[in-house]
Amino acid sequence: MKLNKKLISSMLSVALIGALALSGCASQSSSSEPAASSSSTSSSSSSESTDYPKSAMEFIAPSGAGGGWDLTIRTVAKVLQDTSLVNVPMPVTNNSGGGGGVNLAYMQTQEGSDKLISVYSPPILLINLNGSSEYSYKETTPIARLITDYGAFVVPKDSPYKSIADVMDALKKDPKSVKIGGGSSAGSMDHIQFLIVAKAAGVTDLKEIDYISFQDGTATAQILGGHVDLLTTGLGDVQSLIESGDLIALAQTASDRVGEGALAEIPTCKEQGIDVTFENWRGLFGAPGMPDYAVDFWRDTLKKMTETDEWNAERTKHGWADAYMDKEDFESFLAEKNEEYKGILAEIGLLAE
Amino acid sequence: MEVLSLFFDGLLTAIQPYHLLLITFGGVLGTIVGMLPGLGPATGVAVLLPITFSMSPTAALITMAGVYYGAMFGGSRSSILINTPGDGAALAATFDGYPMAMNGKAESALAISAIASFIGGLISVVFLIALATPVAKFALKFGPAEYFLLMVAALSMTASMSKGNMVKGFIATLFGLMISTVGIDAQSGIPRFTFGILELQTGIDFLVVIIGLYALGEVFKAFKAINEGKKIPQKKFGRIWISKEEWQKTWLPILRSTPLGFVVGALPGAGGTMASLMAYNNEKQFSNNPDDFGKGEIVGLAAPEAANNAASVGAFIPMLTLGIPGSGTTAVMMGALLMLGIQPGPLLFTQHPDVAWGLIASMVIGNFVLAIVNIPMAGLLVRVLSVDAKILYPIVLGLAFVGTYAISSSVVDFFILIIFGVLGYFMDKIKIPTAPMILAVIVGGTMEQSFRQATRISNGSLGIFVESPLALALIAITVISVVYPAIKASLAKRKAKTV
Amino acid sequence: MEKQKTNFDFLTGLITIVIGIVYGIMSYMLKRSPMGNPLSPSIFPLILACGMVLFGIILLLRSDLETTKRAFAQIKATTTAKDKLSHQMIFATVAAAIIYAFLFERVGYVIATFLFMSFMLTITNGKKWLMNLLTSLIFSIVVYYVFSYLLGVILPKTPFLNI
Repeated sequence: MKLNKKLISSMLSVALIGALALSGCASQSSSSEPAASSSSTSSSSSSESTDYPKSAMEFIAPSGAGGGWDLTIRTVAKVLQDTSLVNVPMPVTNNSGGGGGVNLAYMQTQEGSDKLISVYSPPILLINLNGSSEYSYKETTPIARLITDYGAFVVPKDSPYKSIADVMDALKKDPKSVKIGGGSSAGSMDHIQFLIVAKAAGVTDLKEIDYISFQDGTATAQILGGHVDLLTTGLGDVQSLIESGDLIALAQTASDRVGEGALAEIPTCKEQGIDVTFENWRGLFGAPGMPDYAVDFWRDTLKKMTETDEWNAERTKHGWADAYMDKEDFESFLAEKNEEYKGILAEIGLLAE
Repeated sequence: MEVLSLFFDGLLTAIQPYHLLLITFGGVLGTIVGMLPGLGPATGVAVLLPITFSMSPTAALITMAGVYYGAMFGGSRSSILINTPGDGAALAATFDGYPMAMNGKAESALAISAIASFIGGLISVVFLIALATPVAKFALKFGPAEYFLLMVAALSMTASMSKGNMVKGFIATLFGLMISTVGIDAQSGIPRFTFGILELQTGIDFLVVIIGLYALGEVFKAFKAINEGKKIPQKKFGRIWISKEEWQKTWLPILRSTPLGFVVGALPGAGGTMASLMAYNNEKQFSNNPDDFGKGEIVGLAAPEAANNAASVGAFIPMLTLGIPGSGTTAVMMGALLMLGIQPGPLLFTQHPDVAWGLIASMVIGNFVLAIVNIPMAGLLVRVLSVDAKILYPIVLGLAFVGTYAISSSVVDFFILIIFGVLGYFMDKIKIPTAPMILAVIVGGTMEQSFRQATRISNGSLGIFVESPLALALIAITVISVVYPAIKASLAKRKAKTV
Repeated sequence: MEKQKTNFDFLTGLITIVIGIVYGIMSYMLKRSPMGNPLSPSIFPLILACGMVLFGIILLLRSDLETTKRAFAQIKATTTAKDKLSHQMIFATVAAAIIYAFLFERVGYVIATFLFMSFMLTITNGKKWLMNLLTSLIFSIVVYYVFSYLLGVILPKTPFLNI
């Protein structure tokens, strides 16, 4: 019994201090959890006839805190709250594992839920195609595409490669001559984005190209130390190192240059004669069989959100391009991308039978 | 001089009452989160994420940093008192910390752990200010080949120091490495040893292994004690402090372990567990009576504690100087900074000096606050020892399960936990050491990947492992770590014979 | 005369070799890598398997069957009724934990934990019902609230009540 008392008292003290700190910040922000009852008048102005959503949503980032998915869904939750478009709590949980596959399996157990919303990007297609997840995007309810990020190919500042064409020429002569590093596992996003570009540049031996996967975020250190020749990564991930001149970006995968400052100086693949783009699109997905009233509410709400100044400010801050796409377009987009990735994976032998 | 004035500006920021309150709040939360099995600093920091969005970047960062050090202080509390490390970095604290508590020296154990943590943390901040850039440059020299050799060095050190015999230490290491091969192979995308279970694709989390071997193992052992009606280890408690003799014994090991921990912590992906185990092994080798280690030798607790806190400060270097997360916890903190519109990286110190220096100064303040808060907290916690085992161990069991669920929200981990609990019980019976196995599970994944990365870069040639001077130095350390204890032992034998 | 040594090294060596061989075969049977060296996912596990077999043999050679036999005999001779009780308790704990795992997501954290803890306390603490039930109840509720609300670790909800 004694321990219980102690447990309780220590828990209470945490709660107390927590409350203190919360009230401390309350003066700076509006409120971290708007009361659903008091502000329901503002939400009733929306086209929704029913009073959905009534209770807290379940927002899920399929990766650990701090990654791209996490950042996206937390930003969405923040903007929806700040703009009062949604007035129920939207706590974000991290359900990581299997490159998103664990959450995909979890979503199957929540079939028909009107609460669950998760963020995904190309890996939702790739993990199914390469066989690491038995579920595909078809076992979810795509709601809307929101933004895209782009890929970048960077080299150390003293690299012999001055343009992406140099790299491709070297690969054409000897596919083993350039060692490609990336942060995702083989057959997942960083790898595929490089291969799509290499294929468009006319490199034929895609299978022979050495892709070296560095997980736990050590890939950037490896390129800085010159242990690999080229890093395939996200444009935003190496921004500060490009600005400081420690790394040189040979190309970005957007169709027109995006970003500001140093990022805007990176030439696109297209400018360098490789007619290809790669988009790291991100969109929101509900549980399979999400009820129509919920789907309609979120389609409508997200469309409104993407038109707000708050959302656009956040987008610019993170260097995300607007890529809003409503449910139907998004679904056909997903089907199209699925075929494209399938082709590349088949070519390198990573397509699951 | 400019550095000093910037640092003092930072100090002024950190010492504002509002920030001081946040540091304390973070520290206390971190200490508690760190004590619970399965929950580590990364969880603690993630919990704070939504709260920090409404704060200024400086306030957010110092709160999270408070949680981080708090967890480093707290992780070893449960190691000492119930032989259950809160996370990997607190593993080494069980070796001598728990025996100390069983010998009735829980007060000294808790005190030295706080003192060593404090000194290790504080000195490391000085290192951070003076040496951040050169250390970051040094860390970049570690390519896949060097990482592989570093892991080999750490593993062979730990295996060779195992009590009893070295052969069993190596068997435990190999077994741990085998466990680490479960999951999707990152280099080829092929699932290995997953038996078609989705949850196994990400591998077996080392925390589940630790909780199983230690928490469950401890509960199983306690049944015997309960049945035999063994007495409660301690009823009366003294002041949480150490004696003069204990201080004279430990100050030098603390100072030796700090730089080691700092450098290992600065290597992205290496971390506190490796740092603390290496420090422990070092001190055992330096010691005149290595046989006392594992039986409640205070040096064996002080050294890893200092190294572990030094490593947590070192882990900030890659983040602050390069924008690369050095550990799981700093990865979450980087995410928080991005949300607040700050890009960590080489330009952080010039673009946002207030944030960078505020953080560094908060580490100094945080260390003081934690040392002050922790000593009275330890005075309360030590009373766990007076709780009846019949009640205590079911509670430990309950916490072990909820902690496991917190790691990946999966019940599949419960079965893994149970398997390792039973395994730990038998390993104890046949005298196979668990520490080398746990370290192997932790570093195994990186070790194999580094090996494959290195050989892929070298087109299959093993020459890459002897190419750089750093690689050769690491090989030398490995050889010494295996050969030295053997020579030392045979010398001691010869001496004993001649006398 | 030296006391006769007892240890399980002979048995441990054997187990190590068996594990090494089984693991080695499983490693060889792994899917081949489509890119680069087809055996690349198997190489490291195969090295580990060889190491296990090697160290198993070393351990085996350094020990002998007699010491292990003696160790078993010693265990048989020294096992008391209390030790047997401990073993039964371990067995009961494992069984309870498996049931707990099955119930966990079906009946929610609070109920599953309450049942599990009550059972565990009964086997360690005996039939002090009031204290056992109260401890279990407080533990499950406090942990549920602390984890779900303060620490943001969402534990399975209680069905129907939805709290």
